Amino acid sequence: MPNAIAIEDLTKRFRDVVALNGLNMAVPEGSIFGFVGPNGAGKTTAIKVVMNILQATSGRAQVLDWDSRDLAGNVFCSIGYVSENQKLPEWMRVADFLAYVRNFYPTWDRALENDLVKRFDLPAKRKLKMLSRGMRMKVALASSLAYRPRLVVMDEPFSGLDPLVRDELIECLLHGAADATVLISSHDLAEIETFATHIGYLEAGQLRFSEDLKSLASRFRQIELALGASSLPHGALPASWMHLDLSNSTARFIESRYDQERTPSTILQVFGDAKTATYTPMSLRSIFLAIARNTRETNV
Amino acid sequence: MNQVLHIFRKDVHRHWLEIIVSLLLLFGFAWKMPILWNQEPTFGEGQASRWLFGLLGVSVCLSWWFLIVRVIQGESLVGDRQFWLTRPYQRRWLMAAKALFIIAFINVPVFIFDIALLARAGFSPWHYLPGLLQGQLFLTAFLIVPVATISVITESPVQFLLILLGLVAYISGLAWVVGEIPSASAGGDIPGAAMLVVAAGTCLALFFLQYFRRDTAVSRWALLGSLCAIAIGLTAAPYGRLVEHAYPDIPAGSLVSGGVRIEKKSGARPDDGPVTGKTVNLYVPIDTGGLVQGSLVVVDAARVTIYAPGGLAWNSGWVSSAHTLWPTPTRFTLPFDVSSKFYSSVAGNPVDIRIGLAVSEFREGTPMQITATARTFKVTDYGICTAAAQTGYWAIATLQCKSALNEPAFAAHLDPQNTTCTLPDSKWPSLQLRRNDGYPTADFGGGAGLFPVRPFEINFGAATNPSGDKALSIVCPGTKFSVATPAPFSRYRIETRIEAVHLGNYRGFDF
Repeated sequence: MPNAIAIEDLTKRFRDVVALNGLNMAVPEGSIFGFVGPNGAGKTTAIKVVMNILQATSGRAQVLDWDSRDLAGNVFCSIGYVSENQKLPEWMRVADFLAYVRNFYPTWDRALENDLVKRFDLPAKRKLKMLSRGMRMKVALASSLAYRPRLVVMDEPFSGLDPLVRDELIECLLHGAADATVLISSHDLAEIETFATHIGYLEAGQLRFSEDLKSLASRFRQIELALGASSLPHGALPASWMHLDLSNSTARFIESRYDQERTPSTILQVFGDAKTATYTPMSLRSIFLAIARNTRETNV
Repeated sequence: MNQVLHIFRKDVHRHWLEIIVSLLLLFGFAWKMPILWNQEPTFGEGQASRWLFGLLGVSVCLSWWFLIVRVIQGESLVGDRQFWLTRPYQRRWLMAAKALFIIAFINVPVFIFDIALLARAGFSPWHYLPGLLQGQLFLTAFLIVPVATISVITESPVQFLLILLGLVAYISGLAWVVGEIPSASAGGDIPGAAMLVVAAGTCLALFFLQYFRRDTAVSRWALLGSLCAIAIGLTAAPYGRLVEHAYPDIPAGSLVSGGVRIEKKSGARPDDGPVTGKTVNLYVPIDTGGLVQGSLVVVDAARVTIYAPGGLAWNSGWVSSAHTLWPTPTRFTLPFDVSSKFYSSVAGNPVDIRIGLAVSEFREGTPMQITATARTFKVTDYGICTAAAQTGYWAIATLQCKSALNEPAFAAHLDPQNTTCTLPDSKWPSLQLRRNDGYPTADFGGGAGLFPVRPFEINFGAATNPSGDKALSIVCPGTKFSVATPAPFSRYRIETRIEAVHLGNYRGFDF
């Protein structure tokens, strides 16, 4: 599958602070790519470099058919960008704003615009500065979908929104950008999980992993073992095991490379007297937290 | 192009109120402008009128600046959160849209304002079209581009104001430092012009850099670098040598064959009184003569050097001046400040004074005979003058004139014998030839478009009675006088010296 975004060795420094440290990442075309990571991981910086809002210190990014440094002017007819902290012309009324941006796009779809306005229930005559945060995000999204871009990039669009508004945004995103590639950064893992097809986890300016969400969900398992008299493991623990907790003849841990055949035999090698083993699938949120905790412990 | 108009329409929609305020202020400024031409009294109602006029002038400029800042920062080039950065804006069209806005609501109104004022003052505007366009150029260079440049490197009006205040402090500080450098006031033309070119180049470079590269950090460093370069250029310039280069030694067989002479003042009791302050004011009377007929000499700068016994010496550096010397013997007084320390150390001792004058010599063109009429009369190529509506002692001595765009250079002559005014006693006027010159002002295209009609005076002096307590005009309807344009002829330095004088004799000013 070709990539809508391909990032190679991207580094961005702000004086002494390294925000991105040799980031490599690929967003497959047609995917809905959830870009997750803790605060300060560099998600927004990465998106801004990809959108040519910030200049990279080194490395490069390819966005659709263009080098990210060439993103300007008409290229943005193919790209929609929505960010939580974007400054909109707040003095404009909703209808005026849509009419203003409409003129920049030859592919603007009035029917889709009307549909989005209706779905979002946007108040046409109200000034943007009078809108709630959620309403403003809806206006920004509507104005970024109505020209049917090939790529939609959203930076923390759900931050601070109530669940109802989030659902509306997601619904309209899926409706309006059905054929587009979507890159969406968010802390809201539960929401991302419901519609993302791919996931990338960024931490300290580096991508810890990036993969198809189905594959990720299938390789993480929470495992609970009932142990016999000798509860101590034999030899070294596999690197893929995280957060091992031994207590009262029970062992609990997270396996990050679960395999239906290989994992049970590895368990037997480590805990020879394991009586029973329970393998529980994990939510994206649990996986994210486990990885974050593991990274922190490793760093400590 | 469609994008230019689209952004332009949006900006007009957003800033319509500011536009109206700015146009109303300009209209008010134009309405009050004639108080400058009519020499209204500077007291009472006239003073209030002048205050209002000044206030309107300042308000017009501020309203333009506010408009420029707001319209440019509407699509701010600083920061990473603006919605337009990820929309299909073409940067060149964005810049063109902003330029179109400024032209439409600043340049064009000023152009119309200039035309209206010229017509109101009695001039044919179309005759002055090149000058009007030059005025637009200066308006853009001095009042628009610097403000637009600061706007493109700032994100908000507050940031703009802070940088503007910083620049005002920088300019004030630099002016003070340069003012302390000997000869800077007289030799500043070349470095000043060079630094203006640097400043203008920087402004344009930053403007384009921001619109096409949007690299604010680089732009701000470039501005800082440019300011440092200007400061170094202006403080390190060899002003004294520049004056001497611009005004070479007097050529052999010079025109000032009669020479320049310092009057030797030898009061019986030199004023060697106590000295207070850091400097002592001295006044040196200088007699000149010997210029060929039809020429006039303007003293652009003077330098005083004092040699005292024991090898002590003091030098004023070249100090700018503006005295006009005519072919007839002329006396003028050179004021200068000598340091109190030096003065005290030489007080009571005879000193030698050497004075250098850097002068520009002009030759008058073919004179044009003018006859004053009852009210307003035209002086072709110079302007429109009036000898009427004269009130007060000083007013009767002058012709009030106005010219289009710039004050003209002229040499005017009037023989009081030809006056048609009725004087009570034939002995009243001193019958010497009356002269007046207009030294051409810097040509800034009618005050950068803001002052398209310039008032000036032709002052022949009044006729006074022998006791000097009564004065009457010598220009009445029918009085003839001549006006000629002085053309630059040459520039040179003259030196003269006087020996064994007491500085104390030069502390008083001789009227």
